[in-house]
Amino acid sequence: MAVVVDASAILALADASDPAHEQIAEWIDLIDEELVISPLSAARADELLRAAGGQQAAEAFAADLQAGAYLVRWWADAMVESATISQDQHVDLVDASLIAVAARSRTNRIATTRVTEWRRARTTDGSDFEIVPARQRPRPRLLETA
Amino acid sequence: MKKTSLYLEPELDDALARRATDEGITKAELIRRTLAGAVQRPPRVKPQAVAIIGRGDGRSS
Repeated sequence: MAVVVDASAILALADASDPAHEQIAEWIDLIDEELVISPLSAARADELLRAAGGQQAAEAFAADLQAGAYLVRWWADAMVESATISQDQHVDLVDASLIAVAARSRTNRIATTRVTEWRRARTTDGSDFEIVPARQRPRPRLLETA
Repeated sequence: MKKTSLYLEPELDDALARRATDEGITKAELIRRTLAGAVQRPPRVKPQAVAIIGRGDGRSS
């Protein structure tokens, strides 16, 4: 099953100081699924990478696009579908485009660090997205008694 | 050929049987073809823009 990747995950992968970096990097290294994005989310990733790491970071992402590390999906009605999703779910066009791409890719998996936003989002058939990589649950604490 | 054994979830076993029937081949042949395809497929290209920001470059966000 393909995995949709939003710009926050791409930034976390690139930024070693991001709190989610290690988890995202380990997950990317392990999985073998297609990493799917939209042209709108690619543009947002480029913007975030330029702001955080300058031209060099943006060029590294462009090289990943050229190498096919991310599958960029778009089709004739993609913008119309994205605009409709944006209105229906009150999300911006970039996230809406990823929801449309998820539907087209027949997946409900989204790699993101924006967990709160993507927990609110719905697939086009109304179900929850599965957010990856799954957050590691904190170990149960041993309660000390007197 | 080398004989091997593996455990499958009942749902996967049923799905394999259905697909094999649809394709007119045995389940064993379907499994062989599927595994052959998996090991011959080139590894997926991984992103290389990893940890390029935030390690002493002074530009981390």
